Parts: sequence; C-alpha cells; structure tokens
Amino acid sequence: MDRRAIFFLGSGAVSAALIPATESGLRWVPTWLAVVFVVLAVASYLDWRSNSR
Amino acid sequence: MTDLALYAVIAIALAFDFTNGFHDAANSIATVVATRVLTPRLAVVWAASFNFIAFLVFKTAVASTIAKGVVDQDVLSIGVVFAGLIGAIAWNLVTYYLGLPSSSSHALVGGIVGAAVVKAGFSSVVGDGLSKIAVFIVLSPLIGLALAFIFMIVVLQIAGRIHNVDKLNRVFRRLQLVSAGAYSLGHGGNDAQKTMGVILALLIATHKVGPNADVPLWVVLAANAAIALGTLSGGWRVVHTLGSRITKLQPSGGVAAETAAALTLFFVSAQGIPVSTTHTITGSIVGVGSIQRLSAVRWGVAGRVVWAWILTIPGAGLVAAATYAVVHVV
Repeated sequence: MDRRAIFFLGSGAVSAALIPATESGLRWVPTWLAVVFVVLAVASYLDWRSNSR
Repeated sequence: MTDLALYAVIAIALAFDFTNGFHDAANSIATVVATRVLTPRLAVVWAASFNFIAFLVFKTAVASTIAKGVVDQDVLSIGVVFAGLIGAIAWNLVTYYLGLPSSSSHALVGGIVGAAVVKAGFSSVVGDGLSKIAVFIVLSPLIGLALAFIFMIVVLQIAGRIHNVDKLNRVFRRLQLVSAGAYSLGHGGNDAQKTMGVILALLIATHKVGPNADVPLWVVLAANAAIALGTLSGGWRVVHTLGSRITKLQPSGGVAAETAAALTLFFVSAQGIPVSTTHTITGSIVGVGSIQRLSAVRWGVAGRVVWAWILTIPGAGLVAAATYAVVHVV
C-alpha cells in the first residue's frame, strides 16, 4: 500500500476537520488545502501503482 | 516606579526577540548551510539582513493580533506581560538546550495566556483570536508541506528536460540565495511583530498610547534590530536538527522548501496571524523529503519536533502562571 497517499489523505482529513474551526473569512484556506491533499493522494497512489506493476 | 518597570519589561521583550532570533532564525539558514550554498557565518549575515529590513515590506497586523487579540486588553498589565515573557524565554532556553526546534511564537502566546488566566480566569482569553492562532498552528506546516511538494514536482519536471545536472545544481544554488532571503524576510515579518505586539500591549496598558494606536516606529525598529542581532548569534543545534536530520536536502530541495515556507509566511503575515516559522519550514522540508518516498523523512526526529509543538503552549503557560503567581504575591 502507498504510505505517502495515506499520509496525504490524513493531512487532507486534518485540513477538512479544521474548516468549521476557521473564521469565515479564511475558511477557503483549509478547504483548498483539503482538496489539494486529496489530489496529491490520488496522484501519489497512481504513481505508486504504475511503479509497482 | 511604573515607568522603570515598563522599561525593564520592554528590555525583557527585546531580549525575548533576541532569543527568538538565535532560536528560530536559525531555520532561515538551515537549508543553505545543509546544502553548502553558504558558510554558516555568511548565512547568518544574509538572514539577519533580511530579518531587519522586513519592516519595510510588512504592515503590523500580526503585532495588533498579539496586543489585542489573544487576551482581554483590560487584563494586560506589566505583571502579566512580564510573567508571559519569562515563561516564553524559559521554554525557549530549555528547548534550545535540548536542540528541539519548538516554537518561540507559541511559547509567547502560551506564556501570556497562562499569566492572564491566573490573574483573571479563562474568561480573559479572547476565544476567536486564540482559535485563529490554534488553527494555523496546524495549517501553516501543512500549507508549507503541500506547496513544497508541488514545487518539487515542478523542479523534477524541469530537471527531466535539462540533462546537465551540474548546470542545474549551479542554477539552484544561486536561486537558494533568493529563497533563503525571502524566507528570512517572512521570518522577520512575522516573528519580530510578536515582540512589537507585546511592547504595544505594554504601552496601551500603561496609557502611553491609546487603545487603538498603531505600533510606534521606534518599537518597529527596535524589534527588527533585536531579532536580526539574535540571528547573527546563530543557533547551531537547531540548524543541525532541521538542516540535516529531518531529511537530506539538495539545492533544488532547499529552494522548494524555502520558497514554500516564505510564501506561507507572507500570506499569514498579511492576514495578521502569528505562526511558528519553525513549524512552517519543518513542514516544507518534510514536503521536499516525501517527494521521493516517506522513508526519506526521518520520522523519529520529526516526531520529537511534533512533541515540542504539543508541549510548548502548556509548558510556557505553566511557567508563566507560576511566575505571575510569585510576582503577584511579591
């Protein structure tokens, strides 16, 4: 299993969990960060899968 | 007597800024030293120069947050600020001795909160301000991590097209001077303002300036000079931890890490959010290290850093609370 993808997913989950705690004017920061980490997790997983074949 | 105490605590605040310099500003030079772009001596001069000129670039939003957005202004007094500073300085010295890159910024916030709580209870804490700082304790290293990782993808794409590795390394070694300067600018912009905020709080508490006053110019200059002098004194233990023990860095990785951290600091400073420069550069270095594989990051060291993060606010807060209790009795 690709540990880096899991690490990025975890980071994305932490970012998403912080959205409600962030003041309204800055909520776009953890929101975008969560999206970016999910994209990085998917990219990392695809990279790992293509390398392991 | 009040004036004498005020000047004494301002001197302690500047001393804290100095310790912040030798403790935190070492992060500015960790990567340039680790990649041998500059000698340690030249690197500290380079970083200190950019620390000092930061006041020309950034406004004082972070200072306002520290002075008005952490604890109730009515609670702030010379005794509270003194105790907060003692808590923060004591915590900085302990972590410096242990070689842990903990956060001077969170030590300061923890110290002030600890002393204020002993004086007036938990209701004296400004919940919104503290929660904004707390949220960005976690977000700032994550932003640095994501940006650094993306920058490394770009770097690897460029490297894949240019087959002359020596030429590429030369280019990145020069670029690292720019990125290290940018990071030091961001560091001076965010960290020196915390001391400005403390001094502004003192001036407001003693009615030397009005409650809505901006930071006086002499405070801006003194705070930036103190942090720059601290940087010149160096912080080799922490440099060693960050520069070489978290992950092995090449010049291209140094550029990516510093640029990511600098952009993060520029953003949070513009938003008036005090963050840990140490957290930010650590997250960025981890981002660079994980471009190859997670095992490139030495998680044992990174884990010690995380423990230092978790312990900093309560640790500094407890020392400050005890100090305030003693000051109050005396």
